[in-house]
Amino acid sequence: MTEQKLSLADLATGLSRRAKLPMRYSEDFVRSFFKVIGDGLTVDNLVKIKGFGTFKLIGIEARESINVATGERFEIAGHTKVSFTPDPTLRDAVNRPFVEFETVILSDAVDTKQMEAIGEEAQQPVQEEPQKPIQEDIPEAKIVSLTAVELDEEGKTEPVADSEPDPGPVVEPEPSSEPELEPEPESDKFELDESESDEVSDDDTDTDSFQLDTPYDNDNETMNTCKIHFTWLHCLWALLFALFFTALGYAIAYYWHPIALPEFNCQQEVIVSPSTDDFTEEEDTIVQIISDESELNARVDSSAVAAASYPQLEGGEYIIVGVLANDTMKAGKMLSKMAIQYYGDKDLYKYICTMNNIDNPDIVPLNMPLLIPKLEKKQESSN
Amino acid sequence: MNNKDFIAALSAKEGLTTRDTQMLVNHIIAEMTAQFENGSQLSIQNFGQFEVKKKLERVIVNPSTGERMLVPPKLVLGFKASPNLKERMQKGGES
Repeated sequence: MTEQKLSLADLATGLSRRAKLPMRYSEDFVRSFFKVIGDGLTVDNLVKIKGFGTFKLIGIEARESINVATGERFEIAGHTKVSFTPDPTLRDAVNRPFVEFETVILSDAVDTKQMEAIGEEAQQPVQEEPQKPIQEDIPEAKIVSLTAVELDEEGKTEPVADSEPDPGPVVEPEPSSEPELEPEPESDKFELDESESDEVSDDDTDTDSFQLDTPYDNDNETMNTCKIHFTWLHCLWALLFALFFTALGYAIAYYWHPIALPEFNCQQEVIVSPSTDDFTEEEDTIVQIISDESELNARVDSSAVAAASYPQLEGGEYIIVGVLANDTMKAGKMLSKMAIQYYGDKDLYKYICTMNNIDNPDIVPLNMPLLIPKLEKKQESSN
Repeated sequence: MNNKDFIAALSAKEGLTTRDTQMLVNHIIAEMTAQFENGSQLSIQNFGQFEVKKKLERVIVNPSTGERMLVPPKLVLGFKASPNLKERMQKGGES
């Protein structure tokens, strides 16, 4: 990209090179080119040049305005405006870098659904931890270091958020047990989190727009705002993570002393015990499973009925429970883009494929009507 | 004034055949297109200034349906007439 300010002489140089004309003559020709356009405008009010565009004179009528400083009324005299509309070929050539993008319709449902989708995914790692050894490794290592210092927040948790893809509203999976878990020092922090969780939804929308922004990152403004939101999100995530790990630590501590506390019943009603430091990975998973099962049993399996009438993706984490929206495949559109639009996660395009019986997501016929499935988190029992 | 009239006027002024004129005009346009693709700016004295500008993406609302649409960013070629040309057009318009 060589952005330059060009003059008539530069244009003439280009012409003489292309047409192999003497420089003096080509300069003369370019000058007459523009002069004839000007003359043509005075004669006809319109000059149309194939491959370049249309120059048009537009009459602007006189109108009244108010002088802001004095409040006086005065008239803006009528004048003629020269408008230029580039020819489609020139317009497309200029816009070539951005030709991939097209107007996307955002239905009202989309935004809320996107937020929900993000929320669901955020819950995912928490509930799925027992089954996902790869993801487990990371948090495990962190818990050890966190519990070692009695889960002292802020500075410590900052890197956690960096390395972790989607912590989101981690608090949600165990909201019932949360208040009981923190009898002493955490209570004020929890309040703080609650007040901030309102902002989570706002920030979620912002991350969405950020995803859309990334392709044109030469835009400084959007980049800056994104950075701000990013740091914000990190802080939020870090806090939420810390809370979750605290709860986990307490749960483990409790599991270690079940006899001492006989009123144990599936729901974690935990009294803090000091020896949180010495636990291993396996114990953690077991506790996790217990708490998860109680969670999941609590949820009534109403969606399974609806799910039966739709094709399902085997081995997926979500089930298709309905139709979220209708869409059509257009040029430049991709299933993954649509997945981002509807769910905020491009990997969920597989569900769109399943819903529409698409074998190869790279080959989708133009104008093919698509059903966008409504997804619900798969429950443990249906796995 | 359409393309044909324009070429005719230009060829009369330069004393060339319309075919040669059209060829040269095509060369000029090709050259300009290439420059605009690079994001260059072209100012012609006593005529005006062509400039490629980036329009940011924006969300628009269809007032009749309430549909919200995200319009992607785009590069557009803008033209600003020079004061000199404007003045000429003013006089031309009046006469």
